[in-house]
Amino acid sequence: MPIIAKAPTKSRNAVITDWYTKVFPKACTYLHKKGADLETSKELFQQAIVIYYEKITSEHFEPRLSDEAYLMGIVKKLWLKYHNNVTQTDALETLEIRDGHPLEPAAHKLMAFLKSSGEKCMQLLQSYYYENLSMKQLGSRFGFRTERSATVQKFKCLEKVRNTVKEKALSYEDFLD
Amino acid sequence: MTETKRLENWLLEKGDIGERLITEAHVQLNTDLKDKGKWQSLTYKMVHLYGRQELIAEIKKVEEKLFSEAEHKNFRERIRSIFRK
Repeated sequence: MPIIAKAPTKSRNAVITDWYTKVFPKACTYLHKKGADLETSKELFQQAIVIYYEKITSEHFEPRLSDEAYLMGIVKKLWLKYHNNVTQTDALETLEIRDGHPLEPAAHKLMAFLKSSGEKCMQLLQSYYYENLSMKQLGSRFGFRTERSATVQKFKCLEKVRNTVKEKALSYEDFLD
Repeated sequence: MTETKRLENWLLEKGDIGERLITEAHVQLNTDLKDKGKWQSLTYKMVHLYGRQELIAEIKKVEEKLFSEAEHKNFRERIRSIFRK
């Protein structure tokens, strides 16, 4: 059973460290046999963690195997993708985990603005929408006394960021192209 | 239920399906609401991307720690020995 499912209170940092200490050596052994160097192995393992993390934090995921089995499966798939790309273009950057689309410059600008002007709201929103934390967990992380106040603040932040996104996106000419 | 919450349920396909169909009808009839829905949808995408960037930064930090701090010397040695073979 995945570590996060077994111990939901364990910090994400501790979970990632566990994956590195338990699975990364096995991933390296596999990748080295296939011809990868240490740097490539590190990069592929980072991507495997992102993919697996997003899978286990999605609402509909019901794990049937161990973390190791899932991570190794992803590493093997990433290696195949990487190997095919390298033989064609010789560039690791072509391996995109962002739904296949690199970020447009305007989206980069918008992200930079959101980070500088609304970091706290972005933290709160990503905890709920990306990490998929419950309102109770959100409350304890951000110091809300009740789930109701966490919900209210979450929607306030959503509206604030939505207004910023609209205002900024309309000012970047290439944003909606 | 607030407008933002109704839009969220519609966009993220959460909650009562009847309510979602009513919101969808409102969105089709109300340009202001349609506009808000469009920006709210983009906001979710930006939040997701922000979350992913935060995760990548955290992964890199863990990796850096494992490959630099004295307490993880055995781990480093184990990894390097794999690539020395």
